[in-house]
Amino acid sequence: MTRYIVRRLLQFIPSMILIAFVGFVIMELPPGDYVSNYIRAQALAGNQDMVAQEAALRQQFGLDQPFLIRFANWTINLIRGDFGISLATRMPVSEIIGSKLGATVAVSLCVFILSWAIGIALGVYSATHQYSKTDNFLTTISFIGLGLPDFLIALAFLVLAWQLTGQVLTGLQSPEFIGKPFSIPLLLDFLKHLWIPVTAVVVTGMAWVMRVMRGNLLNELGKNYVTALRAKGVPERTVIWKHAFRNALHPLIGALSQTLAFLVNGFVITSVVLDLPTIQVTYLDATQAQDLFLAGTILTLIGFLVLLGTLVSDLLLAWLDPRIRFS
Amino acid sequence: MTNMLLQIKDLRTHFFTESGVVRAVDGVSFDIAPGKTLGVVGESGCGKSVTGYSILQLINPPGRIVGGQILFEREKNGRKEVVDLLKYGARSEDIRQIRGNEIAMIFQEPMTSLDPLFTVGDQLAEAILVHQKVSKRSALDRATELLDKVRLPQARELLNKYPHQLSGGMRQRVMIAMALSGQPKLLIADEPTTALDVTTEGQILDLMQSLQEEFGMAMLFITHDLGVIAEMAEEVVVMYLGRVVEKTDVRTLFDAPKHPYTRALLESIPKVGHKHDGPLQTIEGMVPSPFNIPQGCPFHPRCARFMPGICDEAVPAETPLERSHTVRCYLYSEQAEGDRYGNPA
Repeated sequence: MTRYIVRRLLQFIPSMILIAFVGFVIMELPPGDYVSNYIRAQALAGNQDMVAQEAALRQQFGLDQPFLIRFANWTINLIRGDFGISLATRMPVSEIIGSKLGATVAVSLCVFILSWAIGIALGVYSATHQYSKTDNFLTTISFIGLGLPDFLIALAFLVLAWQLTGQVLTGLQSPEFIGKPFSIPLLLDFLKHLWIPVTAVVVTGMAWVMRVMRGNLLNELGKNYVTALRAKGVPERTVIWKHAFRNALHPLIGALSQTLAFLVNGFVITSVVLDLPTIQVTYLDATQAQDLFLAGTILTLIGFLVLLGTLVSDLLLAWLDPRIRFS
Repeated sequence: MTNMLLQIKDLRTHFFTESGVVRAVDGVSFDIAPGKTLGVVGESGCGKSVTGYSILQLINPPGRIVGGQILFEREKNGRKEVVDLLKYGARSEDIRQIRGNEIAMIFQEPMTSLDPLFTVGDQLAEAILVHQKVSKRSALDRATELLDKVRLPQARELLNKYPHQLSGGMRQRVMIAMALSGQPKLLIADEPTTALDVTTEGQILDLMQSLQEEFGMAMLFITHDLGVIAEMAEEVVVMYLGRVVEKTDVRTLFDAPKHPYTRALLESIPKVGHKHDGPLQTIEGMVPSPFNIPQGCPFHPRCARFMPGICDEAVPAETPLERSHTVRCYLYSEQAEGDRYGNPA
C-alpha cells in the first residue's frame, strides 16, 4: 500500500508540470501581456511618461524573455518555494494567497460539510421512504436546488436580509471589524455574513448529493443481496446502514476527487456577487489582468488539489471495496 | 391435514404497477409436511418464486400480499403452536426472528446474493449473531463448521475471502451454509441451481439432499426444471399464471399427469431411449400477458383440449382425485370456483 501511495505521489510531478505548462500557454494566448495592458491603461489616463518605460518594465518583470525560459524560471522558483510576485500589486504571490486562504477554506468547509451531511441524510431517508409524501417533497426541493444557480439564491438572500434588517451583508465582515483582532462580536459579525454564501451554495450542493445518494441507495436496495440479508433475519436498520448504504457510497467517494479542488475553486460567481474575499475572485481578476505568476500559482494549486483529491478518493474506494483493493 | 409444517391457504400476492395490477399469485394453497420436499414447478412468470418470497414476506413494493394465510407450526418454549406468518408485519421483530432461523432461504443468483464488501466469515457470522447470543469468535467457529458441512475445503481460509474471489458454486455453498446456521425447519430454495453449470448443479443437489436428511428439515424447492423435480421432490405443485393447476406426488406426476398443462410440460422434455422424429414437442402459443390473464381457466387459449363455453367461463375448482392428487380442470369435474378470482363458493 505504501509503495502504491509513493508511486502515485511521484506521478504527481509530471502531471503538475504539465498542468502549469498548459496554464501558462493559455495565459499567453490573448494578444499582449500584463505590461502592454498596464501601459495602455496609463496612457488612457493621460500618463504618457509611462509609455517610454514599457521596455524597462517588461525587463523588470522578466517578460522580455522567451516563453520557455520564463516558464522554466518560474517552475524552478516554484519548486524552491518562491511563487514570484503579483504584477498588479507587486506583492509576493504567497502573501496574497495566504491572506485569502482563511476565508476561502472557512466558507468552503462549511459548505462541504453541511451539503454532504444534509444531502446524505435526506437522500437515505428519501430512498428508504420511496414515493412517500416526504420523498416527493424532498425530490421537488432537490430539483429546485439543482435548477437554480447558487449565485441567484445568494442574491435573493442578500435582498431578503436587506429588506428585513436594512443591512447589506456582502463580504464576510462589516467594515468596522476588518483587520481587528479576534473577539466575540467579531465572530458574531462573521457568522452574520457567513450564512448567506454558505446557505446558497449548500442548497445546490446538497441537492446534488441527495439525488446521487437516493438514486444509488434505491439501486442497491433492489439488489439480490439485500433480499438475502433480510431473508437471514438481519434487522432492517443494519441492512440499510451496514450493507446497502456502504455499497451506495461508491459514486459519492468518486466525486470526492473533485471536492478538494472545489474548496478553492467552487462558487466563483457567488463569490463575485457577494464580494467575498475568497481566492476564486483573486484568480478571476488575475486571469483577466494577465497577472501571470499569480494566476499560474493558483492554477497550479488547483491542479495539485485535483490530483490529491483523486488520490484520496482512490484510497478511500480501495478501503471500502475489496474488489478494487485486490485488483 | 394434521401435523403439517407449513400450510399456505389461498395466498394472493399482487403487484400494483403503473400499467395495471399483476396477480402474480392468485389463490395458491398447498401444504408442506415436516422433513419432506415439496417441489413447485412452472414456467417463468407463473408466480412460483413470488410464492416463496411471500412466505417470509420478502415482497418489495409495488408488490403486496393482499390475502390468504400462511400457517406455520413452530415450537416455542417446548410447546407446539401454529402461527399465521401473514399476521406479522414485514418489518416486525416476529417475522425477523423466523427469517433465517426457523425458515431459511437460498436464491437463484449466488453471484449477487452476497454483499460484495464483506468477507464470507463476516456474513456467515452475521447470520449467526442476529439470532444467537454468542461471541463473534464462537460465531466464526460455528461458521467454519458450517463451511465444512457444505464440503467447502479449507474453511478457515475461506472465512477471510470476499465473495468475488469465489466461484458461483462456492458462493451457493456459502449461501447454503448460511441458511443452515439457524437449523431451520424449512428451507425455501428458489431455483438454487439455475445459474450454475450442470456438473455443479448435480453436486449442489446431492449436497442439499444429504443436508436435508442430516438436519431433518423440510424443503420448498422452486424450479422450472422437471428433471430437478424428479430428483429432489416428493410432492409436486404445478403452477400456471399465479394458480396451482395440479398437485400430486412425484411418481404420479410423471406416470399419470392429469392436467393438460402438466401433460404438455412433460411432453416437451426429450426422453432418453425414445426415438423421436421431428422437432421437440412445444406448448402452443405464448404465456399470456400478466396484465391480461384470460377469463376462466387461464390455460384455455393454449390448451389442446379446450372446450368452448366451459373453459373460458369460470375458473375450475380444485378437484380431488385419488389420494393427495388434485387437479383444476373441467375434464375431471364440472365444478367451478365461486367466482372468477377463485373465492370458494
